[in-house]
Amino acid sequence: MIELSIGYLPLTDAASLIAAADFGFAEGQGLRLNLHRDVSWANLRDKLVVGHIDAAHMLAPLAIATTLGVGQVRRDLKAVFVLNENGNAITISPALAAEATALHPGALESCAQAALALGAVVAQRKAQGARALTFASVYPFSAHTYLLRRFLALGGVDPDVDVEIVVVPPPYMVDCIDKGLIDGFCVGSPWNSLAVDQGKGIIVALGCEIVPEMVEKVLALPADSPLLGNGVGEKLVRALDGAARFVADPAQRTLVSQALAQRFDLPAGVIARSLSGALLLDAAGRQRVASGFIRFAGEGLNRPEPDTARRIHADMVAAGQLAGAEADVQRAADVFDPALYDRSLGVASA
Amino acid sequence: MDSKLKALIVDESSIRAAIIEDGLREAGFTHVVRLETTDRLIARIGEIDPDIVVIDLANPQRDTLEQMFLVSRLVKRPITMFVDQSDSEQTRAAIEAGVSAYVVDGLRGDRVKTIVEMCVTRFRAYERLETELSEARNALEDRKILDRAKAILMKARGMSEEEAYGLLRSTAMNQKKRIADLARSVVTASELLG
Repeated sequence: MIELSIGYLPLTDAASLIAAADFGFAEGQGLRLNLHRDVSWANLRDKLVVGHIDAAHMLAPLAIATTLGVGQVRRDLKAVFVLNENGNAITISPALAAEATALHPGALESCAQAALALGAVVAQRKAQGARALTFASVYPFSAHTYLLRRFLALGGVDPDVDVEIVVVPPPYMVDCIDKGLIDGFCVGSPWNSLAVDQGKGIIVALGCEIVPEMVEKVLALPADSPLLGNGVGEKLVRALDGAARFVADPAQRTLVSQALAQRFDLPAGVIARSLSGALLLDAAGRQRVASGFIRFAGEGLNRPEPDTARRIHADMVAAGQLAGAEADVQRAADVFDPALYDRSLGVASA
Repeated sequence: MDSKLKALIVDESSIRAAIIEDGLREAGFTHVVRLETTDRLIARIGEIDPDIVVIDLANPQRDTLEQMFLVSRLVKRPITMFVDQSDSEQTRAAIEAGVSAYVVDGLRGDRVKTIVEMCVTRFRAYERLETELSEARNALEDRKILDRAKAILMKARGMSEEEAYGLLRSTAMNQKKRIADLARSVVTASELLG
């Protein structure tokens, strides 16, 4: 058995990693995965960069930011496997929902209506000289930040001028919205559903309604990792490939949500709901069903595509995190390198 | 300029934060603020305007800090994580010890290095202390339970203390159990039987 240390955060989209460790997919490849739960993306990045762990569950944009050196640390990383697409949602406080509905009665009916209603709230607050709204993302370099910015822009809100965007760790979101420190947030599963269950938040938009196929988390390795040259990386990708298809199978949903619940110390029911794509939007029990709410496998989803990295680079530029230097585009594209994926699964390299 | 150096410590352990504060004061920081709860972290950083921020890695708010240092209008001066490019061992040691430092641009490299070294040493020492404390607490607890089990046997079976201890020890050995665990079963059984 070859042992590998892998860090992750307690989010539904760590499911394929956890299934690989807990349901025999890693063992089948002669691997033992020691999974370490962590508390921040910054910790996972640092532990990966100094070699404290072999691989990390990582926000796709963070792998690119770290490679380009625009965050706190610069180190070349490779995204060797896309763990999922989508899975995020935007939740607002009951108070903001009331304010939005008063201006625009259909505010909670759809993603587009909610965006327009929030645009109206922002405009009214500006006219009255009232406090600007504050929204939380989970990290500067994240799909959450870019989704939030696009959602706000749909309603005519300038995310850089009209609102404040801050970062709050997922476990603190509910508490922060409850204390009125933030008015809304964009977070992954199952944290939106947890806010709904506690009556502290109302889901107004699903990530997949804003961008239908947003690459969310990847498995990241240092670009000079020995795993990329000693045959072990291939085993890891094959284990993840089997695990991803297992997680995507609706028949395994109960088993998978129980495994996640045990690792996260959270209720299994709320995780099962986020896996199913049938989300409760508020305490009154309104529901929205989206088959693409979170996707783990199928249609080449797991293969890292340089074009994905180029799109993320464009998001970073649009968010003002990067100047649009041409050289950076190529370095970003190199992060999403399909070579190991193709070698592992016997796909002819394009 | 040095007399005005300001530091912020974000650590949920107040004892450890106090130990780090002492170290920072010795290193010449006259203004040191400790935050145990991070509720109003964003506003507080704006007010304090620190030259260095020391944060415990067990705190999820590290991600909040990184966002602020990147974009926030509240942060007046550029602050970046301290990574010694010439000594990656130090960064590794800091992560293993569970501490990270963010410093304002312009604070001298060798000076920061000494401070980070101090933090690493003190975080490690604190961890050792915690381990020792918890071991001492467990030992004390074990001794109390053993005393109670001995007293129960002495009373129920008319044994001397030495005989009661001998019985517990030989039974524990036969059952391949820790003597403290066996003593705990005796106490529980006795409580159940009244």
